[in-house]
Amino acid sequence: MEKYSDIIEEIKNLQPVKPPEGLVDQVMARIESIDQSAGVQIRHFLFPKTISPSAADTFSGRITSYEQCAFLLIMVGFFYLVTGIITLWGFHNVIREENINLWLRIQPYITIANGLFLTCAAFLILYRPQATSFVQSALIAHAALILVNAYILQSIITLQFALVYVLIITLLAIVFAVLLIGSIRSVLRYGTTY
Amino acid sequence: MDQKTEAEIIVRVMGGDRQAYALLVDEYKGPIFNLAYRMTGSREDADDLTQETFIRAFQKLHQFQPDKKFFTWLYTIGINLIRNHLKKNIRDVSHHAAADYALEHQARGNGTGQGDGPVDDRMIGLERIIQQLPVDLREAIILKYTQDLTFEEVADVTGDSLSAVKMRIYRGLEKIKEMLGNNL
Repeated sequence: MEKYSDIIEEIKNLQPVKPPEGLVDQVMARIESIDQSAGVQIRHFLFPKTISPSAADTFSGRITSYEQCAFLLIMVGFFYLVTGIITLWGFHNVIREENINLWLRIQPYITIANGLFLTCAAFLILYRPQATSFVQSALIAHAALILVNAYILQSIITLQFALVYVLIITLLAIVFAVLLIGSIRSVLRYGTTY
Repeated sequence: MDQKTEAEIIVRVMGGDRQAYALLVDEYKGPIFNLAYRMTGSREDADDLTQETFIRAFQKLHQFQPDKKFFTWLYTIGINLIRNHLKKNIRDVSHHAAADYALEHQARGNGTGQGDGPVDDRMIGLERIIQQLPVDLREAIILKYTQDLTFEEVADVTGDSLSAVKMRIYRGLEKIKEMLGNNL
């Protein structure tokens, strides 16, 4: 850095800019207007309003906030939940058949558990950003479990068309998992704990 | 303001004494405004971003870890808001024009004001060059040299590794030197 000492000195000598008069008052007036009543706190906890302002950015460019990351996790989790519930509802008679392999019968429950896991991960990131690295590890384990599940299923299923279906679903789940892990890596890299 | 006093103020705010937060705003309004101004080149944007930084910090105060420094936490919030702002306003050319004017006006109207022409021109030139740097280099240079943070603090604020921060600062200085040379 020695050879840049002149430039460094000049940068350090740049005149500081004076903030506008009344900035403190403006901030405090806005803070006073923030409603922190118990009802509002509960509503924010259940439906965090922080998700909405940056949610639109989630689909364009780099993920830079924990809110965007949580939003993605909630969306994918919701998809799994809906898929699991629909499967459970649509195949409830088939699922009761005891001559069908147990691992096949519990697939809708595994899907629902996946959805719940991702939703919990979203709320964990939102309210305990310090746990984001842990969520990342959990998602990697989750991706590995998807592959294990696919491996078990292919050894059970004999129908060709069902195997293709399992392959497609597994690929989709892996793509989701990779995207989510990517978004967490991005937020750990470019976002910050707060 | 030392870390202990800040911690006491934060405890008061968390306990419901919102007005105590004004002490923190007053303490850090200058550095945050300067950071936003040097990053955006616009006083208006800097004003908005400074206010937004303090509001966001207030709303997330429960997430603040007392063992950390408050100002690095605040800078982190500020830098994220600034990054998002710059990302959204990347195509706004008029914004840059306004920035140029503000820069010129600021450099001539501030400081000694004794009309040291060549020095003022060089300062304006330097301000412009800093604003032409890519965002990641710009924020590293500004945090390190105009905000006077240590390399470790810059890394804390930006979420980058220490080596990445040093590399960015080096590349930033290299670019400034090159651009200053071209402008002479």
